[in-house]
Amino acid sequence: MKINAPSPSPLPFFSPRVLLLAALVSGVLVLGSAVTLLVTRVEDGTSSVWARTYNAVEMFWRDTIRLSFTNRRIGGVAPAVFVAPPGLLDQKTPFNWLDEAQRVEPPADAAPPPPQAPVRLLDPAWQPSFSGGLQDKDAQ
Amino acid sequence: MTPLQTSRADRPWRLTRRLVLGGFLSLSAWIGSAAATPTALAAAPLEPVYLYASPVTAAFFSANGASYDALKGRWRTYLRTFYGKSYREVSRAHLLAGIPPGVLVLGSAVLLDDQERKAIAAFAAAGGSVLATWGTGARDGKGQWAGYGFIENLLQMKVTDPVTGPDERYLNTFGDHPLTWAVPAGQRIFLGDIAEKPLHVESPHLAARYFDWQRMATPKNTNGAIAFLEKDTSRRVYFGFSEASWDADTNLALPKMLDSVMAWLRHQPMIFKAAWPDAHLSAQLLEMDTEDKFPNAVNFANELDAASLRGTFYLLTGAALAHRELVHKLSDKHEIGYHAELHAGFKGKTPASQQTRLNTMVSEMKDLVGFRALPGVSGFRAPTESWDDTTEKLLRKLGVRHHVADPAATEARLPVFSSAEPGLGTEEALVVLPRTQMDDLSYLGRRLDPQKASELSMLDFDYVHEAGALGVLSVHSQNYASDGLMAKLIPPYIKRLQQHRDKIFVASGSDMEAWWRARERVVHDAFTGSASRLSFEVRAPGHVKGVTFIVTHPAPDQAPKSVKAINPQAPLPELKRLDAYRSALVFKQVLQAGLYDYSLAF
Repeated sequence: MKINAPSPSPLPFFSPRVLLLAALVSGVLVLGSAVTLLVTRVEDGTSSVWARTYNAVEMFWRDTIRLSFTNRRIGGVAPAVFVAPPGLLDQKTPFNWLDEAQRVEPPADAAPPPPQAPVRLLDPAWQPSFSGGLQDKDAQ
Repeated sequence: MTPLQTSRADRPWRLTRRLVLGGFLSLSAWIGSAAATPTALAAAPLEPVYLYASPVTAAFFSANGASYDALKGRWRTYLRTFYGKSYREVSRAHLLAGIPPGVLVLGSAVLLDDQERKAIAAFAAAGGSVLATWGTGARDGKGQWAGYGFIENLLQMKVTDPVTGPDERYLNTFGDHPLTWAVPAGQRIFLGDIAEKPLHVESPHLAARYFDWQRMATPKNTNGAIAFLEKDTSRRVYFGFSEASWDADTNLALPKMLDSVMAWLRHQPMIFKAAWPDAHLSAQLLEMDTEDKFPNAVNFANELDAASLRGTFYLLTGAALAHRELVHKLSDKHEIGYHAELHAGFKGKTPASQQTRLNTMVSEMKDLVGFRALPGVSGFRAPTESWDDTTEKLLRKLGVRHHVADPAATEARLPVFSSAEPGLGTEEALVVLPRTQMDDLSYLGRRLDPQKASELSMLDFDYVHEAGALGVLSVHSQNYASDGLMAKLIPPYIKRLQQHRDKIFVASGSDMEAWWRARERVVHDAFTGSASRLSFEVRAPGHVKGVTFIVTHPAPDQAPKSVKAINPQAPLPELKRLDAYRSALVFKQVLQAGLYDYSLAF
């Protein structure tokens, strides 16, 4: 083995040849499915497979182009692309921390209002001693 | 006899003839004047309202660490602030001595002794109206438990048990109802989590029920909240909840409800604008979110076609592109709407991202239906019911006129106008159609067998239409396989709908939206004037067909006998009996902008 030989690529699957092959295959799929759908006159299970294939490949290309040319630095994130905050796994990155007002736990339900009637008023088992105690001066 | 003698002999006959002729003429004039002017009501509305100060209840509360004034005080506040007419606080002595017929309010008068009970019964028997709340009469004058027999006999109902479910804290009133018409159909009124637990009642005459927030359908004999009865000439109303619940009603729906309850108790006929056209009492929209397993839409369409019903299919345009012929077939008989371009929510997304998505959606729909048919696509349903004010603003600019929203969109079970753009008038604002019925996901999530699920769907149907509400039955294409649960539940539902078709306004989303907008052009104040005069305005652009006014009767089946237009050129409504307590005035003609004035004779 030559001493100065370059070390093998740790990611052989992402070589330019493989990427080119993937692009060619997806291009064939999207064109083929598009043509098939255009010429298909009958709605059946097969045409739905082609439709799904077309949609999936089209979305792949759209996302690839968008992500490739989008500035993902802070402030430049494309609105339709949802990414984690940069530096999320870096201990030194300053973030806006949640304060007490933003705690995720829902606040405890407010205490119910105090009773306005005797608590056991409609409890049939409650038979308190009560003389009647009419306060109305007109009571007879 | 000389001519003079003959003349003198004729005098008595001439006098008699004059008297008879004069009497006949005056009688004719009297009959004519009575026919030309509205006839007086059979009985004038009862006055006054009596608020009973139950001394033994007050003493008992004091002896047990509470204050009865805390409950009764709410009645004072309502009667002074909202009711606005005269009321009197009556003492025990006055009650026992006998008070003239009026409306007697027994606000949580839990303790009543024998003399008080007899006096109240006598008052009712003499034609007085009674409004009792919560545990009225449940204890005797000594504070001993007496049971609910007093109010059960008074209203011929049964008190079943207290509301114990922690979530069953919402009063849901019936719309266009003789007692609760002043509050929108199915209005969810929060009663709070209070110690004074509301009571359930079972009665053939209800005006409201208790539900949880989602209005989960519970058995009919378990959730009655407001009961009423008319016996001879006495009207009685019972609220199962105490006045302590009123504080939880931060939207102040209860005072409005009390206004219409008081009018009924006073035998005062009222006229109000009905929610639905052509004397229909409720409404139904049948819709499908057409997304995954798109071809299943045919199954739902076939059910609708067999019943001659027009439904609405909200299409996920990204999925619909692969099923163009099916889309065209659906659009022949049903409405097509938007369900976004892919199945992801909108709520909280930036305006730019929402705009991009909605533009794609419209572009795909144009691709599907063509440029000329695109303006006819005016409905929207957000995937996962996820939308916000931004979504509404953007939709309106894209030509959308209505959207079917989630149950949280409104507190009532009626359409509303979007509040996303407060400056917009009702001709421009989006109409929001709330889905307040269970959808297929609700049924599937509960994993019920088909029999139980069917019972639940029938109960759901009954509650919606009992409340005079808008029912939105929502199904998803992926759950509508020909052998799936929904394919079993929907046919009986449609069959029940057909049985009540004459009372239910069944329409597509766009027709529902068009009606709600037209209805809003009719301006009428139910609390101004009297029931012998109907005056309203139709605002520009007019063109309102089928608007209906409901008249409550001062007594059972005492419907208006006739209605006359003050302006002879004005169209006449059709007078139609709805039930013993209500009649409808239906304007089947198209009303243009202008003022309309009618007199009613009872």
